Amino acid sequence: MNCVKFQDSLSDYIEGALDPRARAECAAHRLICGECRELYNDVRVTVQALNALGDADGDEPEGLRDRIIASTTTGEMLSCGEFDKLLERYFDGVILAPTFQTFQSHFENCFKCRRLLNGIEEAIGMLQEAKETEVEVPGSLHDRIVAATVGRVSSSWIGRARSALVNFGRRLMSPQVAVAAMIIALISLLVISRFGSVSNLTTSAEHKVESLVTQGHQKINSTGAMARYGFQRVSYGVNTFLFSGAAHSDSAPTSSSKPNGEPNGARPTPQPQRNSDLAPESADSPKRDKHRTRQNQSGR
Amino acid sequence: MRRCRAGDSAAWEQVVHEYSRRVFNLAYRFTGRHESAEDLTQEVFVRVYRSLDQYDPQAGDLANWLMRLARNLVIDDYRRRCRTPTDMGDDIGDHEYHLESRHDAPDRGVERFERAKQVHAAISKLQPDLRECVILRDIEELTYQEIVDILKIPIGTVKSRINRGRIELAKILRRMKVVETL
Repeated sequence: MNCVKFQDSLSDYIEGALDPRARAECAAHRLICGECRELYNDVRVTVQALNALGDADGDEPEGLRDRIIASTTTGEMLSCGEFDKLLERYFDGVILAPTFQTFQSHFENCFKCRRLLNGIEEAIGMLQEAKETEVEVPGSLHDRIVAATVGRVSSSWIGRARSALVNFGRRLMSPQVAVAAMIIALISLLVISRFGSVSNLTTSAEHKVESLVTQGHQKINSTGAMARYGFQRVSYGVNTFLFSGAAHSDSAPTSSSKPNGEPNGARPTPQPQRNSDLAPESADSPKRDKHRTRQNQSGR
Repeated sequence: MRRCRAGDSAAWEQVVHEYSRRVFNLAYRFTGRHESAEDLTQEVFVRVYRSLDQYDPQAGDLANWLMRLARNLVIDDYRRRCRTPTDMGDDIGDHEYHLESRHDAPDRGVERFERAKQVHAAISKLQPDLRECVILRDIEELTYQEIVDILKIPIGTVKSRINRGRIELAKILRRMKVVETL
């Protein structure tokens, strides 16, 4: 036996696992080889020291047990996988009381699972909101679906008309139209509350217009009367002037026909409005009547 | 264990008290660092807790099941760290270790503790594949077949690694002048 073979068999030799012949060879080599003898002794002592290590475990550091218990009985009482499995039942509210306590304990201690649970709650809330606010369906979608499924471009004209009507109705239900309709309704309400009805409103408007027209007529008439009076005064003044001139000369017959040729000649004599204005002329009236009587006689 | 699975925290605490020391020591042998061993022990217990429903009392007693699981987890961690050797044996001293305490400190407990520390330091200097075999065989005192089952390597390889590991460790301890004091 050489040193290499001795070293290869060393463990078995120490453990007594060699057959008697091999053991005898090793023992013989150990006696003649100092280096292998020393190695044999060192390995034997080393194995004994290792065995002693296993027999006398050192104490674990202080607080390690508490750390382990804290990280298992509270934080990991329920593994995250178990937590995931229970989530659905948790949201359905069908977790039994003892499991629920464990679930709560894990939820309080595990940040990841807490974040997951909060995220799911938020998502459920958002879904609820989304459910309440429906998005308008595009008008052409129906046709597209029909085309994609049964292969037809569109249905009969009745169907198309119906879908057009439905789309129009949907468009009417748009927010802008709704606001406009609300404004119109408010105005109508104000009108009705003020006048009772729309027909009453037109009636009162007619009355108003009628009274305005009447007032306009009266104004026009009074203005006309004033104008007429002014004209009569002017013509009367002219007549007076002419008659007074005729009294002094014989040109009276030519001028006497003038009043009859006036536009207002149909009226026999101007009607004085104010006696005070006519006072100076009233003194001449007997002369004029006399002159007229003479004119008629000459005409006959 | 049945109570543990039913959510009985007192029963679980009892399991932790009973096995934390063994698991911590196992972790320390493989990591060679107190801090790493603590973290690893905690991780092992968390994994054990999550695997409680896999425990079958018919297949063996709790200690065997728990320690087997713990060993597997520790070795997984050990092999992972061997692939990325960043924090291995940082707080274990080098060859300067010698038994000054033997003369300075009359306390046998302190002496034993110091020696154990030196042996751990020597173990940490072993090649990783040799180290895991030596630890499992000479400290954990598993049979060859148990080591084969854990490491998933042929029995010939296990035997060969144990033998080489022992010789290597003895040489390291001699260089550290520890072996003379053992």
